[in-house]
Amino acid sequence: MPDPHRAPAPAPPADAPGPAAPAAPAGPTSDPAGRDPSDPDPPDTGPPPARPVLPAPRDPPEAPAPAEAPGRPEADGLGRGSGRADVRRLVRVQLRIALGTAAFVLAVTAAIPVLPALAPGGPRPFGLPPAWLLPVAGVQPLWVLAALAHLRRAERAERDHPRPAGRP
Amino acid sequence: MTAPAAPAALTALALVLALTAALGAHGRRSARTASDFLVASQGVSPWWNATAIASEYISAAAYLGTAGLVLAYGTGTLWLPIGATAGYVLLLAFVTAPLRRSGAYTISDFAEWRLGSRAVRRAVTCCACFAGWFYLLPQFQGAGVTLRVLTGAPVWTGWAVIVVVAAGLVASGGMRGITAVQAVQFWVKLLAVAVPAVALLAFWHADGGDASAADRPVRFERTTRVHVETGVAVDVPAAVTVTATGRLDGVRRHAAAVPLAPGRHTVGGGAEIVFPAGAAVPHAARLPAPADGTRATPFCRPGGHGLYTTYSTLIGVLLGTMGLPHILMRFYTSTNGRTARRTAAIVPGLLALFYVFPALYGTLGRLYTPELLMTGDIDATILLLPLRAVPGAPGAVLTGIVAAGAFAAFISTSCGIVVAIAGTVTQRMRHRDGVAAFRLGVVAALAAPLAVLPAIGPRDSADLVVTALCVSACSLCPLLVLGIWWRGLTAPGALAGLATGGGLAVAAGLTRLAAGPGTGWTGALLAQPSLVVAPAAFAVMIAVSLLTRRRVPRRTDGAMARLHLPEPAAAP
Repeated sequence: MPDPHRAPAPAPPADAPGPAAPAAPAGPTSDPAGRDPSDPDPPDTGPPPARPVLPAPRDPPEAPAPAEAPGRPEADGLGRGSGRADVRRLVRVQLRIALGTAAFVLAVTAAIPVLPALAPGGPRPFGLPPAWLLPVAGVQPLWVLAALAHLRRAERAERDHPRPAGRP
Repeated sequence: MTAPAAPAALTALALVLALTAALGAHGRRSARTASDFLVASQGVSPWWNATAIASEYISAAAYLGTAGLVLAYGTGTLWLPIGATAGYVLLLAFVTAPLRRSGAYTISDFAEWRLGSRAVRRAVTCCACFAGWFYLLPQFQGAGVTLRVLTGAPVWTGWAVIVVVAAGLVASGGMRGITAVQAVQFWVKLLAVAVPAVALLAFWHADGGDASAADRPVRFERTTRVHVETGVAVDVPAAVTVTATGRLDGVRRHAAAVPLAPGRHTVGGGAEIVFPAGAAVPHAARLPAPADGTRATPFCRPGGHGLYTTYSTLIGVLLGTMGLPHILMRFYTSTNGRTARRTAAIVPGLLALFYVFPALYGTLGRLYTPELLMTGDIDATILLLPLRAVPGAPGAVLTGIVAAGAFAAFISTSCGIVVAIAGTVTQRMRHRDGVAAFRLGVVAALAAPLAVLPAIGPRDSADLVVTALCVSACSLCPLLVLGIWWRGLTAPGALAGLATGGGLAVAAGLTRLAAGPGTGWTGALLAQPSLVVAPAAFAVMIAVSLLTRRRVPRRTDGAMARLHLPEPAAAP
């Protein structure tokens, strides 16, 4: 196995631009000048700055990152206007779904400290106080449902998203 | 006093360690390269990964701290676990799928990729490390308390256990070993908290239990002998005559009847005080009671600025959960954005299941272990309760089960955080072999909290963990949310926001560590700055980005496409 510690692809997170890289990342992660002594270290670490050694995606087919896939010119930042508008539309739809979920979460959260005051008495199943039951049995299930509902809506939005040209 | 628990606790520790070692060794066989060490090669299924994530989140603070909070402040504090679960809903809504699609392993990677700035990367690394270090503190603290309470060992033995296990596991098996360890430990923790809870509830019912006591100020139900291990200042709520042996208010007594007036008294280490039945329980001065003297009102976190503190804590927990480095890192092991999102959708269910139980211990603890309020060891509630409620062998067995869960709790969370810090730091190292650099990172991750721990004295784990969440809420969360959803974010904007939010949150956290809980508005703001600082961080990021509009990276559109377009391999 040829020296697995040396990651062959040094900076997978930087969206390794395709064959033509018209808009190179502004912050190249592998600087050829080697170690730059003037570059101050982050205060919390000792060692000199470096290219990220990790992680090396070992299975390229796993990472079908839109920006890398050839034949998808809209993803390279200078793509056709239609592709870009397309992405914007998807982002807007997803953002609307996410904000809806967040609004629900924040509304329930805002009501939380007030709720027990509204229900001072009430039933005591197993002799347990309602202040215990309300959070455990009343609110937690709401989060579970909210999560599942969000998952469904987000996945549907992606399914309904029209595939850009040049893509199956 | 705690002798019967020691064998059970040590057996539990041995079992958990053996399980951890076995799973870790299994992982080691397959972890060969540095990326194996970190990410388990991205083949982890949603259920498996979600269990591991829930497990990493159920830390010593959640396991020990929740019950302790309920004991000390009443069921009002249950809203904290609620905030945590809700945080995962927000994480699912805003972060998981796009973050996974970015291909970033750490938040630092994400920041550098999205904004193309090494300076931002450095700032993010800094914030992530501080959040991780603050998060490690309660784990160490919980480990120390667990071993001390159950076996009488000094607190540093607990710290040593964490260091040895985390270093050993992380350095040998890496992330692959850890995924298995985490996932299995979730079930260990769930069973460890659920089985004794049901048993205790049954015993208590057989006792003719009356839960209304849970809503009243805490009283000693019977004549109670309280052994104070380390000196403590206590506030006595009502005049009471006690029998004291040892140093009380600076005077050495020997089985003498001492009338205690309401107000503050000091109890020396090693003193034994006998309270009559029905006496109100004095509370340790570092757990200030709300002004009305009850500890079960809905918004009853200390400080007197109840509503602000409650909302600020909730916001901190909600937003902080979105930016926890060790949790976000887990999603990298999902196959793609879609599985990452499914993983995140499972987590709230698992957490909700777990959080049914710890509060029960706190509620019962108000009846069976009220003296913990006085000694200040509220984290020990869940550990002491079984033997107190069910004396004899069954109690010892239940104690062992609970202890196993506690050990699993701090071991799994510590390992996750150590991997996260080490992974973040490692990527800054050059000229070093990846695995060796990673091991160095592990040392750095463990060294910082160990240096601080001896100086800060006893703290509640829940308090410490909220500090960590606050750092993440004020720095990493705004960066992630804006970076993913707003194309206008610029590097200077991100830097300014990180410096404002992260800087203020870290400063508040350190001040509080150094100076202890304050009073009045200053104290409330220092303890829970999230409600003020997190919106400020968002505002600064947006404002500065708008001012530096020309510096929006040119490839932003490409980045947004990569973040949000679904994977093509939809139907394999």
